[in-house]
Formats: sequence, C-alpha cells, structure tokens
Amino acid sequence: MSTFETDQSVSPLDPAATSADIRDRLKRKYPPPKSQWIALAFIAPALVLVVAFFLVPLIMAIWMSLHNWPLMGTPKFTGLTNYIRLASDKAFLNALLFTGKYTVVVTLAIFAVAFPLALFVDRKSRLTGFFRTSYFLPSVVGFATSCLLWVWLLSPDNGLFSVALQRLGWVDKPVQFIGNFNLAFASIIVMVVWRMAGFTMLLLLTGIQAIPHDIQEAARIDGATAWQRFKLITLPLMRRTLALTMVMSIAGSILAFDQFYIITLGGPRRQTMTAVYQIYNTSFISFKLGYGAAMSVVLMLILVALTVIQLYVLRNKEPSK
Amino acid sequence: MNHRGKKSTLITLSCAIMLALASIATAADTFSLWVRSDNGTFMEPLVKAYNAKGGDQVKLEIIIAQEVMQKLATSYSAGQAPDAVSLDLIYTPQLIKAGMLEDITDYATSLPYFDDLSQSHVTISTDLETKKIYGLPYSAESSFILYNKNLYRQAGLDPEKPPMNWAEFEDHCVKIAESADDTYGFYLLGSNGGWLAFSFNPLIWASGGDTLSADGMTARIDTPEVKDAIALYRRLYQRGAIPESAITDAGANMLTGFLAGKIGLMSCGTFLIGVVLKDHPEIDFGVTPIPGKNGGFATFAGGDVIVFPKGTKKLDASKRFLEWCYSLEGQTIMAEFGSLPVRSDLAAQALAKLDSRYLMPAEILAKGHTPYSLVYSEVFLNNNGPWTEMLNRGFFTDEDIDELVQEGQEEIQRIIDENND
Repeated sequence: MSTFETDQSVSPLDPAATSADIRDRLKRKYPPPKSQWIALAFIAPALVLVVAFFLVPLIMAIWMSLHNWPLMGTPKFTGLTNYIRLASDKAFLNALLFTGKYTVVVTLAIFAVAFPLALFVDRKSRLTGFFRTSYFLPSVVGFATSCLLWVWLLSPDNGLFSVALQRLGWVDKPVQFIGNFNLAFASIIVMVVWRMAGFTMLLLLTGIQAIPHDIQEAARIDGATAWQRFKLITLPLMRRTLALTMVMSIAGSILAFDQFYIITLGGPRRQTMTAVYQIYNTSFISFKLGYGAAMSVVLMLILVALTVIQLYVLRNKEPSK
Repeated sequence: MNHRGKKSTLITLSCAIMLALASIATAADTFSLWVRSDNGTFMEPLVKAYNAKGGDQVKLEIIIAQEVMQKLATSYSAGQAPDAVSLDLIYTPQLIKAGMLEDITDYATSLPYFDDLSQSHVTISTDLETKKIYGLPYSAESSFILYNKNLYRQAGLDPEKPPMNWAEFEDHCVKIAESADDTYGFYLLGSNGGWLAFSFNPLIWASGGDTLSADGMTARIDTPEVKDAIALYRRLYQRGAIPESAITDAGANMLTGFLAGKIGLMSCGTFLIGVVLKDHPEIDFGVTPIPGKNGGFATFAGGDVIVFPKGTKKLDASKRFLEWCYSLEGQTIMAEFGSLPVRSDLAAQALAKLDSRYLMPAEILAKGHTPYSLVYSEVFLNNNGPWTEMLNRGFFTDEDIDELVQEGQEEIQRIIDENND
C-alpha cells in the first residue's frame, strides 16, 4: 500500500496519467507471481507452526478417536464405536450441559461487570489511572495461581470468607463454599469475573476510545441523551471489539478446566465437571486415550460451530440504504 | 589474586578434573531411575549415598506423582523408557498386562531374603495366571491410626488405651469432639479417593469384608461390612466428631487440624509421624492399628515396587543398586527419611535409631492388604469416580446407604467389565 502511494513515477495524483496507464506501469514494476512467493515465505514460519502443532495433532486425535487406545498396550481399531458410545454417555452429556450453562452465565457476568467498568474508566479524572490499574490487576496473576488463592479464600475452616462471615456473626458455622452446587458454582463465577473482568474491560476500553469524538460531540449537540448515544453510537461502532471479546470469552469458557480442577475438583459429586475435565479424566485417570480423543473431537466441532455462528451474527454488514 | 593463588587454583582445578575422570573410569555403569514425587524425600539422600560410593551411578528423575503413568507410557512407546521405575504398587498389574516389564522371576526368587520381603508387594507384582514376577518391593507405607494423647486426657480418656473396635473408636471420637468447642474427634479427606482407599478399606478388611475379589474381577462393594463401615463414619459426622472441611477436602487441608492439635484421631501413614516429630514436638501422640468392627486390625500395604521396563540394557546395574537398598545400610537410610523397611528380617534393626512409634506400622505391614485391580485408577484413585462419590454421599448425606452401595457396586462392576472386553 505505502509503496503504491509513495511511488512518484506512478502517482495517482498525476493528472496526466489515466488509470490504465498506472495499472500498466505497476504491473511492469511489480510482477505479481514473485510477490506471491515472497508472501508465502513470510507466512511460512507461522504455517509450519500451525501444521506441526495444530493440523498434525488434530489428524492424530481424529485417528486415535477411531481406536480403543489404552495408555499402555496396543491400540485396536474400532471404527465409530467411541462416537456411538459417546452419544449415550451420561457423564459426558452432563459435562457438556454444565459447560454450556457455565459459558452463558460467566460470559454474561463478565460483560455485566466489564462494560460499566470500561465506561467508567473512559472518563478523564485524576484517579482514572488508579482505577484502570486496580481493575486490571487480577488479570496479571496467573490463572492457576489465582485459583489456588481462591482455594484458600473459600476454605471453610481457615479461609477468609468463611471466617469473616462467622466473626461478623452472619453465620454460626463454617460455610462450605464448595460443598453444594449453587454455592460452588457462584463462587467460581465470582472468582472468574474477578480474574477476567479487568482484561475484558481493557479490550472494551480500546473499542470505546476508537470511536471518534466528533461523532459523540455532534450527537450531544443534536440533543441526544447519554443512553441514546450509548445505544445508537457506542454499541454499533463497537461491533468488532464486541465480537472479539465475545468470541474470546465464549471459547475460553467452553474450554474451562483449571478453576474446576483446582477449586471444586469437579465436585460436589461430579456436578461441576466440565467437558475438558471429563476429557482429562477419561484420558489420564481412566487411561482411555481413544475415547478421550473422540470427546475432544466432538468438543472441537461444537466450538467451531459456535464461533462461526458468532462471527456471522456480529459480522460487519454492508452499509444498507 | 597473587601468583601463588593462581597456581594453587590451577592445581585444585586439575585435581578436580582428574578426580572427575577417575570417577567416570571406575563407574561400572550409569542407569536412570524414575521415582514419584511423593518419595523424593528418601530417594534423594539414598541415591546421593549410593552415588558417593563411586561405583554405579544412579540418574534419579523425580516425576510428579499424578503424571508417572502418562510419562512412562509415552517414553516407553518412544523407546526412551528409563531403566528402572519405582512405581506406586497399585499400577503394577496394568503394566504387567500391557507387557511393558522385564520378567525377573528367577532373579527375585534367588534373593536369599526373598521370603522376608513384603509379600503384598510381591503378590501385586506377580502375574496371576503365569505366576511370573515383574517387580520387587521397594518402599513401603502402611495405614494406621495416629491419636493425640493430649486430647485423650482433655476428654477424660486413658491415653494408653486407644480404640480396639468400632464401638470404642466411635466413643473416643465423640468424647473428644465434645470435650471442647473447637476440637474434633476424627478427620478424613472426604474427596480423595486414593486416600480413602488407603485409610477406609482397613476398617472393612479388619471386619472380614473386602471391596474387590482377589483377582480384581468382581466388585464386593454390596456387602454388610462395607455398609457398616460407611454407617460408622456417617454416625461420626452426624454426632459432630468430623469437621465440615472434611467433606470437600482432597488433600489441601489434610494435616492442618491434626498439627494444630484440634483433631483426636486420624487414619494416616508413617509420613505423618515424621511431620509431627519434626515440626510439632508439642503434640504427644500414640499409634494404633485400624480396628475391625469387633476387634482385630488391618492395614493397606502401600508404597512402591521397583520395575524394569522391557528392553533396558542396564538391568545388572539396577539389580546391584536394588541389592544395596535391601542391605541394612540402604534400609536404614530409607527408614530415616520416611519409608518403612520392606525387609521384615531387617525392620527392627533399620528402625532401631528412630522413634519407637515407627515399629508398629512396620510390623503390621506383613499382614497388609493391597487391592489387585486393572482399573484401580479409574475406580479408586479418581476423585470423581464411583468409589469417592459413594463414600462421600454415604458419610455426609442422609441418603439410603443400601441404595448407595448398590449403585456403587453396579458402577464399579461395569467399569471392571468394560475394561475386560
């Protein structure tokens, strides 16, 4: 692009040159096949990485999923048996259902917290920097590390929350935060929102700040209320940012594992087993690698489908008159 | 640095190089040994002492306990298996079945002290059909009860009379719980399947029951002994003798209560003796075997067997190391750093310099049980598996025990059968 604009001999601004002229001269100067090879050379390293670390393992996983493949011993080809068994595997279906439920709730919760925060820290004030930093701070802690921190916070006998509630006299015996499903689920949601909202806020903030000020200004002069400006200007102009954050949040939530593995251990009584946790257990506790691979393939297909749908819904529509 | 200093440094350096060369020259062989992270405490000093002798050299690799099987399987299929592995004994049947281990029957039976080695370890390393032996006892741990004598006194109980049956056990736990606001009678890891198998199974064995048939092919869950043992823990919980944190604990708070002096009794292994002696001398504690319903006792013989992945070229070096571990010197070092001796004829000598409370756990090892199963990991070790779920619901809810046990029986049998297909 920039070479085109700075190339003086074929400047499009030259009033004497016709467009055919320019095209002709450009072709002579930059023969297309060569530039394609250069482009390929530039993306080759990335391509090699994708092939080696994504495509090859993917094909291997699909191949494994067609076998009874124990961790030790010899694999046996079984065709689609794993997939047929999967269709009636209650534990896996429950894990998928739970994962779906978690994804919806946590994504909504993160947005419900992150969007107001982003609007809030967009304002200029002396403390803006302080607020931005504090909201973003939890995102700097590693995910597993913050899970471990919350294991202690939620511990009934010596964790902060339970002991604090007891000292305040609001409860009279230790609170089992991960002892029943609703509390455990709520605890995880709060923890993930605490950990992720700051990061989502930052992404949304960049989207908000990319909106030209004069548009907002013009709307304000035209007498639009704050809500109207948000609904009719901010939201539509943030479509791309929203698509990005949504896809990231949903894909991340569907692959949730750490927080459940570390904090709830899939409990109480297997009620917080996510799909990835189930895959992990099948592959590395039960040592059924083939069956685990089949689960992974199914999960991947679900994830691809969801992402395609999201990108379609949130695509940049052609301006229509 | 002056001239003389430089010269002496040079001399020291060349001496060091010569020494290093010499040790390589005299080293008979170097072999690799994998050990799970739980056992690093005694493996490191042990290997250090052996390597310092200047003969064979052990290349010790400590593997995170939960990942040993994955790493072993992948390295084996890549042709890069270690020469020897100190393996959690319950995994041995799976490796034998997969044909991954060297047959060491002749070597094992030729050891003059073969009959004095922990027989539970030997049994689980033996192929049930061919009777061939694929592993030898390496380290040992047994389950038993530790009890806090201070709390016994506080509750008006005789600290020299630990429980001999379930009635006394329940009575002691409840009395200790009632003796003060913040003390409890008993603690357990209610969400840790492996730990429950280690500490809860002995109650069943000591009462004449079992959870699996000897060949591991039939689940024996739906039995009066299992139901009674579950009911015992449920009563303890309902009578306030077990703290709430036990329900969800998979190990994070395992020792917190006992080390704070707030827990009366705890079914545990010898590692806890070590921790209390070292860090909490203020806790006056006793040890006693896990009792049966009407007396008697039983224990889980745990620990490691040493196995040799098929195709190792360093079997002789591994054997020389193993024989040294079996010597009084080796057994003493292992005992000092936390493993029970696996040779019963040397146990008393190896433990002579240690606290006398190590002796009972070593003695009961000879009568230890080790479940033999090809699906042990999936059924018992799995914190989301049928065993953990059945016990957790059994102990801490009001659900019907008969139904729970029946469900557990069916689920465990289904897993066994599926694996057998």
